[in-house]
Amino acid sequence: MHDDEDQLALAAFRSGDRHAFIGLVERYQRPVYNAAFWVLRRPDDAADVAQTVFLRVIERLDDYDPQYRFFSWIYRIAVNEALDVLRRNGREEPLDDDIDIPDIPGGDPESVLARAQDAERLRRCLLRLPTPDRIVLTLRHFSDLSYDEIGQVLELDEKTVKSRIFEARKRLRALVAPQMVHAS
Amino acid sequence: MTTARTHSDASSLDADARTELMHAVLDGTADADRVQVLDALLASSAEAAEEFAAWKAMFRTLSAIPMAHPPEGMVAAISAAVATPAPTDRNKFSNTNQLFTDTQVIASGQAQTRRPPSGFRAFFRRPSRSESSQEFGQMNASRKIWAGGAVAAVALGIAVFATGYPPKAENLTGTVAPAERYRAPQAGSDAIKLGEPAATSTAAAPAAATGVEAAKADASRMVASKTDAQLMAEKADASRAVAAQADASRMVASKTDAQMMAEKADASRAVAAQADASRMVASKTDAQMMAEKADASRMVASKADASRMVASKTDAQLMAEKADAARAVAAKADASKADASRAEALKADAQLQAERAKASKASN
Repeated sequence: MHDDEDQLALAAFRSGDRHAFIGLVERYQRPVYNAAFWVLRRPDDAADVAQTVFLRVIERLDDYDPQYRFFSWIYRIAVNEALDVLRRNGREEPLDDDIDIPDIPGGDPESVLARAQDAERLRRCLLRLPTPDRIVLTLRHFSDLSYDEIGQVLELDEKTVKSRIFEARKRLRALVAPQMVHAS
Repeated sequence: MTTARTHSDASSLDADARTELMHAVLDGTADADRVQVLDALLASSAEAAEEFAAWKAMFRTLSAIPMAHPPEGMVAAISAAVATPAPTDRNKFSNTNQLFTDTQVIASGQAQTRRPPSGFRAFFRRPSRSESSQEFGQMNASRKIWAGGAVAAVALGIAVFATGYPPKAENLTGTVAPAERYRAPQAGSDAIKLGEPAATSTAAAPAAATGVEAAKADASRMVASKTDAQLMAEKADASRAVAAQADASRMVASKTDAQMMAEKADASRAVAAQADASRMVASKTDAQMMAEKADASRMVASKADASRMVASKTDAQLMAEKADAARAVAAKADASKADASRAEALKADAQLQAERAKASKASN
C-alpha cells in the first residue's frame, strides 16, 4: 500500500490542497467500491457508498490518527457504511443470477474460457455466502490485507480473523466443490 | 526439524489442523518448518494431496476474480463536491456535510463538539445510535432555544395585554393606593405643604418595582434557555427593556390614559416586532435549510444520472464483450468442425486409396 504517499496527501489536504484529496480518491476508489460491493452485492448501492465514504473521510479527518494506516481506516469506513445501508434496507436483496463472466486475460482461448467459467462459478458462490464470510474473504483475497490489517478494519483480534477466514473458506468450498470442473 | 519428526507431526494432524496448515501455506504465512510438515503429509497421503490440490485451485481461482471498476464519474463527482464553495462560510467543506446528512445550519459546531478519539479502536468504532441521537439532540436543542425564545417573546406580549402591564391608572387601586389618596382631594395651592408631593413618586415606586421584578423574572427565564453569546446580547437588551419599562412605569402615575394607551400600543408593537424578528430568523433558517436540501437533492440526482450513464455504458461494453466472446467460441467451433471435416475427408481418401490398392492387388 502507499502509506507514506497517503500521509503526505493528507497533510497537503489539511493545509488546503484539495487536489491532494482527489489523488487519494483516485487511489482508493476501486478498493473502496469493491469493499462496498461485496457487502451490498449491488453496483449502484456500492457506488453510492463509495462516494459517501470519501465525504465521510473529509468529515472525520480530525479523528484520523496518522500512526495507523490510512487504507485500514478508509476500509473500515467503507465496510461500516455498507453495513449501515444493508441495515437500513432491512434485509439483503435477492441475488441477481445474471452476473457477467469476468474477462481473465492470458492463455489459449479454451483455458481462458474454462478459467473464466470457474471464476464465475466461484464468484456466484461467494456472493451467496453470509455477509460476514464475504467481508473477511474479500478483504483477504481481493484487497490483499493481512490478518492483522483485517483485524484493524473489523476491530477483531488476529486469532478471530484467522478463525473466521478458515470457516468462511470451508463454507465457500462446500458451495463451490460440486461445480468446479476445472478445479485442478 | 528432522525428517522423522516432520513425518510424526504430519501424521498427528487432525482434519481441521491439516486444512489450516494448507491454508497457511497457500496464504504464505507458514514458516519453513510448517511447509516441511505439509510436504511430508502430501507425500504420505493421497487424500491430503487431493485436498491440497482442491484448495490450491480455489485460492488460484479466487485470485483470478478481477476487482470490479467503480463508475467512471465517481472521482469527478467527489471532486465537484470537494471543490464547490460552501453556501455559507462556516466551514471550508461544509457543503460536503450537506450532501448526505441533515442540514447542520444550527449545529455548525458539531464537528468540534465530537468526543476526542481515545486510540485506534475508539476512532474506528462507528458512533453508536445513542451518540448519533445525542448529536441530533444537540442540533434540536439549539433549534429549541430559538423557538423557546420566540415563544417567550410572544408570551410576554400576550402577558402585557392580558395583565395590563404597564398598568392603567384605574387598575392601580390597591397597589398604588397611596397615590390615589394623595391625588383625590385636589387641595388648593395654599393647602399644599412643601415636601409632601414627594410622597407621590415614592408611593408609585412599589408598583413599578413589581413590574420590573416580573419583567426581570421573564427575562431571566428567557436568558436561562439561551446560549452564552445570545445571553450577553439579550441580557443587554433585557436590561434596556427593563429600564425602559421602569421609566414607563414611573411615568404612568403622572400621565393621562391616552398617553398610557399610546405607550402600551408602542410596547405591544415592540413586542410584536421582536416576535416577528424571531419568526424571520426562524424562517430564514428554514429557507437556508430548504435551499441546502434542494442543493443536496440536485447533487444526488446528478450523481444518479452519472451512475446511470456509466451503467448503460458498462452494459454496452459487456454486451460487446459477450458478443466478441461468443464470436470467438463460434469461430473456434467452426474451425474445429472444419478440422473434423478435413480429417474425415482425409480418412475417407485413405480408405479409398486402401480399397483401390486392395483391388489392384486382387486384380494382380
